Amino acid sequence: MDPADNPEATYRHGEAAGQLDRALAALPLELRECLVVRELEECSYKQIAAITGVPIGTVMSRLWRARQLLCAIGAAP
Amino acid sequence: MTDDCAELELLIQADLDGELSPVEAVRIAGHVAGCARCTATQASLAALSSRFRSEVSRHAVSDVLRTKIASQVTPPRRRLRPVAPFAAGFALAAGLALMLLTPRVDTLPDELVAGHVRALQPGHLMDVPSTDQHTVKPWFDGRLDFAPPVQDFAAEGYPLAGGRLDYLAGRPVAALVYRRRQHLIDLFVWPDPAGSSAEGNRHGYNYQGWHRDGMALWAVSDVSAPELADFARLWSNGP
Repeated sequence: MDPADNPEATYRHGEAAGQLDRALAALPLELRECLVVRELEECSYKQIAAITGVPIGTVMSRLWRARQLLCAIGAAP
Repeated sequence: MTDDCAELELLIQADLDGELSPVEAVRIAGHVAGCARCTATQASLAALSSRFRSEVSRHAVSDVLRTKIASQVTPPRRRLRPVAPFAAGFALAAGLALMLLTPRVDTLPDELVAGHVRALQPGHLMDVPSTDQHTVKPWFDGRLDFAPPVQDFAAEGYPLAGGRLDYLAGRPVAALVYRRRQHLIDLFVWPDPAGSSAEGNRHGYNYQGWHRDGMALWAVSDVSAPELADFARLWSNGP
């Protein structure tokens, strides 16, 4: 269905998206960077490690903390 | 929950991020299948990832970060003509998706044969040893997010021997085990609306794939190629 056919659903989607955007913006920079590069650019852990200049183990723990924080503040279902 | 759960959290995350080897992924899938806490963790991470990709603006990738990413990904991007930043990001994502997806097509036969060989190791062949399709099929209930078709071809010389969970093509799949004289045939089944078919040989094992009712079916065995084709034909004709 075209979203334009259902303005209420479009509004709810936009509101939810804004909530997630705000929650993401509230994350510490080093956590936000890892998560954004992983989820939006689909980079591998190895690539993220090279981009952010930290070991792969740190990438894994940062991703975990970022995701847990987003879940904890209610940005995730 | 077990004491291992906390240690497995990062591995569950790595599994969803596509970072685990098939062997590690099978181990994690086996634990998650029997652990409510880890099942919830996996579902929560998957839901967040899904929302993230559909809702978060690509502007979240800062220009500084975009430059760093560009230095880490494949050189062909540099041959792109100059485009707007948003379009460049989209092209990068599309390129990465292609890069990640293409090897999966090429490596599927290797994954299939590796799964078959792994299953031949002692104790790995079957989770549910049974010649009764009405025992094997219900066993998958609640263990997979789909109901695999199960058929027995004992009368045709391919008796059902059992089934197990496996992990292929980036997802949990059903593996049905058949016997052909002294040989074993693994039939891997998972939902795949697009479907594809192929046949070939890897490391002495024949494989054949076909598509039926929205499911991908791939048979792997050391039986001859004509026998495997006969097995595939029986399945394709089905009840």
